[in-house]
Amino acid sequence: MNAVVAEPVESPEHRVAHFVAVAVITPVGTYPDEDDYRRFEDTEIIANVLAKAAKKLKLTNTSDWVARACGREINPGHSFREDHLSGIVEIEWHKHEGGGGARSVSQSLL
Amino acid sequence: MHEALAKACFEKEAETLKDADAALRRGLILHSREYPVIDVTVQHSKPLRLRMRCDDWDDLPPSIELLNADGTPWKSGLPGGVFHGGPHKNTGLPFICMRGSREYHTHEGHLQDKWDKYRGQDGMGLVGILVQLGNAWRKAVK
Repeated sequence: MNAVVAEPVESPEHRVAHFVAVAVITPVGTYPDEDDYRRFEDTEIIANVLAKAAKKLKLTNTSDWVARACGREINPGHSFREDHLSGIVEIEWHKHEGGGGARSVSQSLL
Repeated sequence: MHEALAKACFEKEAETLKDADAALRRGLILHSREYPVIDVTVQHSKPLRLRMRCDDWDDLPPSIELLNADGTPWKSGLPGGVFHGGPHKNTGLPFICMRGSREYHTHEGHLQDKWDKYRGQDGMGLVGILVQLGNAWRKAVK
């Protein structure tokens, strides 16, 4: 028998806080540090966490940097929850590659 | 640049890849990081080994060799774009066609795009260039 169980809807005032454990990994270091994660509510905007990482790592110009987690690019304007990130989240954050050409070609050419 | 200064700059930046775990967190397998060379393999089902020669860092960008995982020269095809089949006029080899690579900035098509424009920028250090290349490889080779 296939039963469909509706999940209870959480109103904002009754929502139980959910947390993520975050590390931001950059070419110059890791936030909060190489061995730890920092806990944030999953409603935290990712860009706020990146800003904390930039401050700690003394990064001043990250306007063309990209953030990736779980093998995909993520949207720093979203919260962790909005970007479907939960549990332990390792964000790779680095400058966007570019130069002579950046077209994607399938492995069939190799 | 004075060699001692180049070495000091190299050591400071290569410290980010202080051990195998730190490299793996950045998608790289570390083989060595002894001045003037950083030698890593991009983690991928089709691994690409990159050997960066960083003499005169950061007056000059690193010269980057493309290798098989076992350290032999890369002989098979490349996807193009950042990973150019060459031959480069200076080395006669396939090369990295991306800002931050010595071969890019000395290629006749990019002589106007000077290294000085990128030198010292956040994310354009030695590890930053390697991380970008790792990401470019994963995008280009599915």
